[in-house]
Formats: sequence, C-alpha cells, structure tokens
Amino acid sequence: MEDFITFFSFENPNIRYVAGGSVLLAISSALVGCFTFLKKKALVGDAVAHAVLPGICLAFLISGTKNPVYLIIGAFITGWLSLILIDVITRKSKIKEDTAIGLILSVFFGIGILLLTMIQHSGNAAQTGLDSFLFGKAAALVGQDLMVFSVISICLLLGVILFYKEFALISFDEDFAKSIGFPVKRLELALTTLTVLAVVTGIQAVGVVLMAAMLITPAAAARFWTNQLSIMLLLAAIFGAFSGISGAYISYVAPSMPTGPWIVMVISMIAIVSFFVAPEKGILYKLIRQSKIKKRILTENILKLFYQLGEIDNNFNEHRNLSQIQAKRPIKTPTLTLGLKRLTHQGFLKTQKGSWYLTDQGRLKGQRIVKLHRLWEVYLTKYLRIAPDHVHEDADNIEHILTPELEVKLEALLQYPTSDPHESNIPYNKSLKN
Amino acid sequence: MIVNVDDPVLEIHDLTVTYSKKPVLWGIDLTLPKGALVGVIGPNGAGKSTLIKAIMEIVPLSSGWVEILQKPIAEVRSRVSYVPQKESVDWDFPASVRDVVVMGRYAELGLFKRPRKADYQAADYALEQVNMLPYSSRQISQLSGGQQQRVFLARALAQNAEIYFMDEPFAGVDAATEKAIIGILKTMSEEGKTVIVVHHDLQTVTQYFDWVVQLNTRLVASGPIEQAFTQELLQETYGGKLSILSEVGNLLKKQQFPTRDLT
Amino acid sequence: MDAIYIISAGTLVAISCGLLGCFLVLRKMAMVGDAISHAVLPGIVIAFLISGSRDSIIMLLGAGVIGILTTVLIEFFHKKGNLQTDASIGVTFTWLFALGVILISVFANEVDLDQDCVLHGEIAYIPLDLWITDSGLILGPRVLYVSGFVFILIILFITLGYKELYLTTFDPAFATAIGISTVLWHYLLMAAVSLTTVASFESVGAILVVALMIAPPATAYLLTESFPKMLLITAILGVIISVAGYFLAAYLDGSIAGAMSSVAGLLFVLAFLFSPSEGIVFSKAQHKEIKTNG
Repeated sequence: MEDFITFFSFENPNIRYVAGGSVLLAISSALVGCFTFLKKKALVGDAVAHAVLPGICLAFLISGTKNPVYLIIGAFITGWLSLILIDVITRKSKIKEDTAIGLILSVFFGIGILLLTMIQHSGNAAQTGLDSFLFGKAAALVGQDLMVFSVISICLLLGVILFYKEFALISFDEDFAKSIGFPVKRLELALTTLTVLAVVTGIQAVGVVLMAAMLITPAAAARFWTNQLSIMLLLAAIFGAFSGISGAYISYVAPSMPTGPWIVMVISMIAIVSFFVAPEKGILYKLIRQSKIKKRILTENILKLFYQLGEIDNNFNEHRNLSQIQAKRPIKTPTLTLGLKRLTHQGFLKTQKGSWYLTDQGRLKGQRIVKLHRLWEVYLTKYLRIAPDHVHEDADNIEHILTPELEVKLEALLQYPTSDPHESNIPYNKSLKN
Repeated sequence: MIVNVDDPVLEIHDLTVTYSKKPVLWGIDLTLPKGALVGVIGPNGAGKSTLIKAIMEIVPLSSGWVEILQKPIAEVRSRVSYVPQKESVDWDFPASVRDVVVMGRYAELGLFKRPRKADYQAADYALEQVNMLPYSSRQISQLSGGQQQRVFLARALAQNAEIYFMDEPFAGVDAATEKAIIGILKTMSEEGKTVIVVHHDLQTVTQYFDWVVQLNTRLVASGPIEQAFTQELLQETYGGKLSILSEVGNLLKKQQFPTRDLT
Repeated sequence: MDAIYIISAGTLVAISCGLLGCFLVLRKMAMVGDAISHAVLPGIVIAFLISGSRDSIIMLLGAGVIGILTTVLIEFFHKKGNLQTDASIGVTFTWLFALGVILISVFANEVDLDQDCVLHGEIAYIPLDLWITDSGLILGPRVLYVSGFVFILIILFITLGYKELYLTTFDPAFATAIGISTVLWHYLLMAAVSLTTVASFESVGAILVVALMIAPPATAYLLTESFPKMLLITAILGVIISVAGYFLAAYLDGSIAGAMSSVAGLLFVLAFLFSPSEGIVFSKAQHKEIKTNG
C-alpha cells in the first residue's frame, strides 16, 4: 500500500519520468496502431521495430554518443528503409508480403545484432546500455528522454488529429479515397512516417521484439468493444495508458521485474479479457446468448407440445404429466422439468400435483409457434421447392427465430394458408377469439 | 421444376451450408443421373461453388448428407475428381505442368509412396488429351489462363474417376480452349462418366449441357435441359433472392442461431 | 577444430530451417514461423524448470506441443474472435514472448538463460558445451548432436511426406478432395517448425531462426521454378551462409548468428537484383531489349 501511494503521488522525479514516459509511449503507439490494424498491416509495425536496431547502432558508430536525438534519427532512417524495401520486394518480384516482412525483419535485425556485438566487443565505454534497446529500458528513463518523448508524442497526437478523417478513409477504403481525389500516396506516406516515429520512440520502453504488441494489441482489444473509429482510438489510448502505468508500477514494486514485458503482459491480458467479455463480439457474450437461445427454444418447444397435444385431444386445458409430454417428444427429464418450471414461473403454464396445463397466455404462445412452424413448411415447399417430407426439421428451428414483422410478411405472402403440407390445420389468432 | 432420378450417381439430401451461421445453401435436395453432363448455373453468390465444395466435404455441412455412387464421399474419393477454380491456387508456385498433372495420381498412391513411371505415363496421356503434352516440362507460372485450365483438366483426367466436379472451368479461358474443353467433357459423358460443371455463360448452356441445375441459395430447378432451362425458371433464379429467406438468413447470422434445433 | 564445430552446427541448423521455410514461404505462412519462433520461449523456460537442464528430450517434445498451441491460439483468436490473421499473430506471439521474458526474470536463479541469448543465441560457445558420458568419454559438442538429430528428423519428414506436403501447399482444396488431410499436414509442419526452432534456439536465437527460415527459401524462390531445385538451392545457401557467416563474424569480431543472417540477406539482395528470370536488373535489360526491338 505504501508503495502504491508513493508511486501514484508521483513525487519522486524518477517515478514521474518512468510513468510519464511509459504512458506517453503507450498512448502514441496505440493511436497509430489503430490505423495500421485497420489497414490490415499490423505486422508491418513488427518489421519496423526490428529494422531500427541497425540504425541505432550505425548512429552510435558514426556519432560516438548515445544522444537520443542521434539514435532516433538513425532508427528513423533504417525503419523507413525497411518499409520501402518491403514494398519494393512485393511489387518487383513474385515474393508475397508475408515473406517480405519476415525477411526484412529478420535480416535487418541480424545486421543490427552483428553491429551491436561489434560495438560491444570494441571495448568502447560509451556503448554500455545500447543493448537496452533489445528489451527496452523503461525503468531507466531520465528527464532528457522524457523531453524527447513528449515532443514526439505530441507530434504523433497532432498528426492523428489533423489527418483523422483522411487516415480513417484510407484505412477503410483506399480505392474510394483515390476516386474522390485524395492524395492517397502522400497520406500513406504520412501514416507510415507516424508509424515509424511511434516505433522509434516505443522501443525505448519495451524493446524491439515486443514493440509490435504496443501497436497491435491495444487496437485489437479496443476493436472488440466498438465499431466506431473515434471510440476505438479513445479506448486503445486508454488501454495503452493503463498498461504503461501498470508496467511501470510493477517494476517499481518488484525492481527485478522488466517493465517492457510487463507492459505487454498487461495489455495482452486486457485484450484477452476483452476477447472473452466484450459485448457483441466477446466469446462469453456469445456463449451466454447461445444458452439464452437454447433456453428459449426449449420453452417454446414445450409450449408447442402442449398445444399439439391439445389439438389431438381437442382440449387445450387438459393437464399433462411428464410421461405424456415425453411420449410426444423425448426431451430428457431434467431438461424438461427445468423448462416446465421456467414456464410456470413466467405464467405460461400452471402446475397441479405433478401435472401442468396451459394458461391462456401459454396457449396463445404455443399456438403461435405451431403456426410459424406450419407457415414455414408451406413457405419451404412453395418457394424453395423442398419436398414436404423434408421441411419439418428446418421449420423446427426457424419457428423460433421468426420475428412478428416476418410473421406478418409470411402470412401476407402465403395469403393465410389454412393447412400445411402435411394437411395439418394452421391456427390463426382469430379462431381463438371466436 | 425438380426432376428426381432413380438410382442416382449423386444424391443430396436436405443440405444446408452456412457461412458464420448464415445459410448460403438452404435445404437442397438433388439427384443426378449417371452419365449426365450437368451445368450448375445461378447468379453470383448463389452458392454454386459452395455446393461442389460441400459435396467434396471441403466445407462443413450444417445439415443433411451427400452420397456419391450410393456411398459417403469418404469411401469413394478415388472415384471422384474435383477441379477447383484456377484462381484458388498460386500459379507462381514452383511446379512444372507435369508435376501438377501427376498430383491426380496421388490419391491412388497412398501415404509415403512416390509416383512411379506408370503414373508419369498416365499424366502424359492426360496431357495429350488436352493438347498440352509439348508443354509438360514448362513451369506453370509461364502458362496462359487457357493453358492453366487445360492443366487442371488433365490432372482430373489423370485421376481416371467416374464423376467429375468442375468449378468454373471456362472462366478466363480463350475460345479455342473453351471449345477443346467442352469437346473432352462431351466425350467423357458419352463414355458414361458424370460431369458436373459450375457455369456462368447462359448463352452456351443449351449447347454444352444435357442437364441443368439452377441455384440461388435454394434449388430452383434441376432436370433435363429442355424442361429445366426455361425463361420462367431463369427469371426465378436470377430475379434476386427471396426477401423473407434472406431476412431470416441475416437474423440467423446476427443472433448466431443454431442451424438445427437439437433439443 | 572449434571452427569446424561451429560451422557444422550452423550448417545443420540453416539447412533444417531453410527446408521447412520453403514450405512456409509457399504457404504464405512466413509470419506464422516468426510467431512460433518467439512463442516457444515460455515453453523452453518451463521445460528448463521442470527438467533442470537444457539437453532434455522433454524440451524438444514440449516445443512441438507449444508450437502447435501457438498455431491453435492464432486460429482461435482469428476464428472465434473474428480478429484478422495478422493481428492475431501479432497479439499471440508478443504475449507469449513477454511471458517467457517475465518467467526468465522471475526464475533468474534457477534458469540459466539470458535474454540476449534468447534473441541472438551464442553459437560461438558451442565447442565449450561438450557432451561427456558418465564414464568420462568426451563425445563432442552437445549442440551438434541436438541439431544433427533434428536435421535427420526434418530430412525424414520431408522425404516421407514430400508428396503430401507439396500438394497441401499448392492446392489444399484438391488435396482435401482426394482425401489428404490438410489439417493434419498443417499441424505436422507446425510441429516440425517448433522442433527446429527449439533445437536452433541456443545456437542462433529466436529471430535469427526466422532469418534462416525465410531468407534462403525466398532467395531460392527467385532463382528457380522447380520445387526440388528450390529445396536443393536452399540447402546449398545454408552451407554458404554458415561458412561465410563464420568468417565474417571472425573478421568483424561480432556475433556469428548476426553475421549469418547478414550474409543471408546479402545473398537475397544478389538474387533479387541479378536472378536470370526474376532479377530486376535483368528484367529491366529485357524490357529495354523488347522496347528497342518493338
């Protein structure tokens, strides 16, 4: 708790630098990442992240210092070069994009490693810490770094805000953008520049390997929650910021813990949780919806059975027990009891001494299902030319999904048929009133 | 207008295929006679290719079953040949014409066995039939669209099957190739082989086929050409989707509703 | 002697990776190979913790499982979560890699792996790590045995399954139609990739495994249009890369693995510029010729 307070009071300048730096980096890469994600170029960020390593080493070799400005310029140049090369390789040869990305990524990184080890073996004292680009050095950020980051982050933010509309359009529909006269090439260039910038700054926190996560994962997580670009950007930024500060906090509390991997771990967890619980798209949500549908199908089927039994006996108020229902359709006892309980609770059935009977409401609903079933059978035979003996199974399912609007349309289209393909009477509501 | 036959070479029963729960084929019941040259027609997105893929079990079925030569497909694969759309493969692939055609022999070779001389001879024979023998050592990346299609046909011929499914063999080929291919298909049909072809060009249907299947999500017609290829049926097939059917399809997808009620 | 040990280990690794890479490149799955090479890290750490050493069969077997798990996860996010493939790859491998790095930090005392080694390996130490039997007999560098074993496995896999791998790569729909399971061969290939990755991990590291998997096949792909030749050229490139890489590293006093991937990249550039059929220099000349003729 004490740690928590010390950390979040941000009084210690070191904490301020680390937390501030991590958050800024995470936000700016998350924002840019949304666009590369939507353009389905998520892995390009990965390639850039690896490709900056030789640039950093070369900048160091040439300048002889670890001044972040030089290193960033070096990183920027090779990062850019990698994107151009990927583009040239895919356009000028039969090599496909994924191979080009993998090739550039690994070869650039290999060259970077070669240069880095050369520098390390050269015994130059100034080089210590250069390898922190591999895994990031968020925990060692200092005031000077923060200044540079802030400037770049602000540039990135401005870039995204200024070109919001244009980026949105080229990510969504490049051809359309071209057709209405957008300078698509130049806009892509701008977006690429922002991506490289985001990567170049971001790797200082999380390192080359995990940088891809800072671009892709917040966007992927945000995408589960919304279909709106503006909200997606906002959410991605929030997720990024949260993971940035959490990573910084974790490595503050447990200093042996690496900040970068923890930032990635937190953002990945957010993505995985989103993947399960997000409304509409989350897996859990889908499972809940499935089970709701199952329950509804079960209860509607039971009402249908009551109604059909009523039709046979010409008595809709008859009490039925479990075995009578199961004789009509073999539903497993526990499932059936559950369904009966639910229906009684909802007021569609009433129960008396181990048997159940329809209420008026229940009878109406059962009748509707039976009607929909038979209407659909008529529709299938008439419009899909399916043989009468093949329509039952499909109708058994579709009867549960037809909405009142579709019901009206179906009735009108089929002109209120009186019987289904099996000569069963189709019950309409009117008959009940008589 | 759906004509069913006794002793069918292909029988499809209550076939529904869904794409993320939305039916692309709905309740198809179909039988085809042995030795027929069948054209499968319908508008774009009608499920023509999907029908063939479902028969070959390349896409999963949501309901129903298929029998070829009175047996499930898994038991008769070696007697059935499938020609995918030529766009479905990467023609930059490092393979020669002969390499591709000999793939038609793979089914009979079984696991771990390499093609032998007899298999290469069969491949060469198939190439000869499509007039591609002089190109047998050419790389497939250097072929024209028509030649690519001939290679695919040769691969199917090398399989020596009894029933052939071809997905748009006339798409993007030159007139000479089209004529050559249909000539071969007609010979095959005369030899008692059944050939089922997904086809696009309505102008040539009556010249090419003796049986037609009209498809638009549902089966509209199936029968001998003179009965099933009428103006009225064509209008029904190409006159758009059934509005209620597609609305229900969209609902199924939106609610991720099961395709069959399993309670 | 050391040079021979290092070069032969490098060659074995380069050929195994390259041969599998040919299939990955043609299947447009190069980035899945990249993802697997990163994702096996937590598996290696866990296997290390369980077995307490590097040279266990557990590690190789576990790797196959984790590689398949990675592909399953990627497909799961893609199919069940409607996440596009590239993003699904990106999310999965960074997450697993981060997990691996965190595990290394947590168990720093128990696990003899360091982060740099994970990325670029240290093939130069191969001769130091000898396999000594209980009776004290020195059998030579341990890594050489491991990479040799995997090399033989990969050669066997590709020879025996050549026909199936080739067909499922070229035309999966046709393969399914004639009863060859594309899913089975897909996962077998992924298992082979994971196995090779783990075996190559300590010598060349995670990312350079990728360089050896992608660069030689991509180069060979530009040089030939016959698949058997593509495999052969890839293998030859593997030899060139490890020999040239070794001497380049010695000359520059840098990482051997880094030098190997630099050489691999250089060879690709040469093929890209000067390949008789595909090279851009040559085809430009050809264009000119056509123009002047026309």
